[in-house]
Amino acid sequence: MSNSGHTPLAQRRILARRLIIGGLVVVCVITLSVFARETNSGTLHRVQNISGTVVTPLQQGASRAIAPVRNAWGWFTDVLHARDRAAQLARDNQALRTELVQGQFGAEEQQRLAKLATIGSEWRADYAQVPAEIIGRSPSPWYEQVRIDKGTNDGVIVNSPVLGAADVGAGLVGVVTQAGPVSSVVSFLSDPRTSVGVTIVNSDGGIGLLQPTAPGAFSITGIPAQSPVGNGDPVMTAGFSQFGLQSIYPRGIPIGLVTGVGRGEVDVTQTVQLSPFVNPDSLAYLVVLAPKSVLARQRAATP
Amino acid sequence: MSTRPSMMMSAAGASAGAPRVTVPPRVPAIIAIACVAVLLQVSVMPFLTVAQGMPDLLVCAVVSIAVFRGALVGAIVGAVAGLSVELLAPVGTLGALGLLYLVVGYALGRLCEREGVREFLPVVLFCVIGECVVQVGELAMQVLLARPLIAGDVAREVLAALILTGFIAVPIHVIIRKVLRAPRVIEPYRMPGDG
Repeated sequence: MSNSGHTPLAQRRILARRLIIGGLVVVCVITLSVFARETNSGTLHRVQNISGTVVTPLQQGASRAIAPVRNAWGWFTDVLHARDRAAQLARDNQALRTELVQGQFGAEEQQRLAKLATIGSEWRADYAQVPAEIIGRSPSPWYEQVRIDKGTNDGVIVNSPVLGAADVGAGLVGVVTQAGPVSSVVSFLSDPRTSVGVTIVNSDGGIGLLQPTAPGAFSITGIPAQSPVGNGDPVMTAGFSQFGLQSIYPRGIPIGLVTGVGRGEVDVTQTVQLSPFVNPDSLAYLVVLAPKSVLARQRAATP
Repeated sequence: MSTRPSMMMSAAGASAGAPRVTVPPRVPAIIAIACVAVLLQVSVMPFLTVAQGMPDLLVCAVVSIAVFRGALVGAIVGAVAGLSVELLAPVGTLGALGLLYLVVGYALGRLCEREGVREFLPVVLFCVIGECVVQVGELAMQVLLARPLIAGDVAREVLAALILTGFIAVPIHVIIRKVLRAPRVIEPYRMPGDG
């Protein structure tokens, strides 16, 4: 675009304007690149964490201020759903399956206790359960993270597992990825950077790696082909991930149910689809498992 | 309170012997609008979702400021506000939203400077277009990050966000027009009498 018809003042203004815009673009691009390349303990991540901590009181206030609106909206949708007979029956069915799942977990625990003198990674004993309110959600639906109102002052540290309540009881929903003094950021399991070492109940101890495949859907890879896996089998954390490495998640936290199994004729492993117990989008509160034993702290320190 | 611009003689206008229409910049008001928009965007909007889509108050604020104060101010406000949202809210990036809001503020501000748009309907349309740019940009970011997506869910969320943003565009525009107390500036690169 030619500026030959402009006065010198106008040309200087155009130049200044282009320099400012260009400078802002460069700053944004550099920030984006550096942030994507650095680790969670990097400078920009720390700046982001501190900034989030500063606005925590404001987010708490806003969350409480709009709670009546949120509750009213929830009541309205609940009424609509309550009229849906099929949905009601599905809930009843889910409740019945809960008892079955809990029974299977109980049987699994009994078998393990009978075989081993000590468990060592019992998550109910090694972790303090810290209830937390979700005070900030991502302003974009693309990011699977929330901010909670508990931080290091409450014993929450980075890599603390996070549970959510569901019709079938508590289930794993994510992990703390940033921890400030009074607030923390939780990344859900649906975050593509998250993977969990899991085992399937009734599968002869088959260990696999759980990863998200789509919003609300997960797949488990690495389960040996000969392991008996069927639809409806409960899935829980294995306590370690691939290659026998220690996992940040202790053994025995329920995650979801198997919804599909697939493998080829010559495959040595099978791929399992999973439906999680907890949908994090509908939660207002979470429970953080804050490590309190040495073993739990070692797990959280796992790189 | 009048919303007519004050008439002043600019340096260029004085030298060219022609009066130039300008307005007081009201920088504090612009900063206040941006701060309030950012705080509401990170504190309140994420809880007001319909069909997984949420209204984008920030894009409405950036577009309105760009309409009233031009492309440069719109771009600066967009970049700073976008970066602020990324700093304050639990999102997985830093710089992406800043870049997207900068593009929205500059492009739509520039369009308004050239076409002289100030009516409500085009501004609502601009807000929806701006939100569309933000959503597509974020979608591209998710693809680059290799995040698995379902086309149906994506379409529903984007559509809901566009509709909700269109709904809040008019009240936001009215409020910002009231606060800034002036129509937008048309930056006169070609002065009267320049030949």
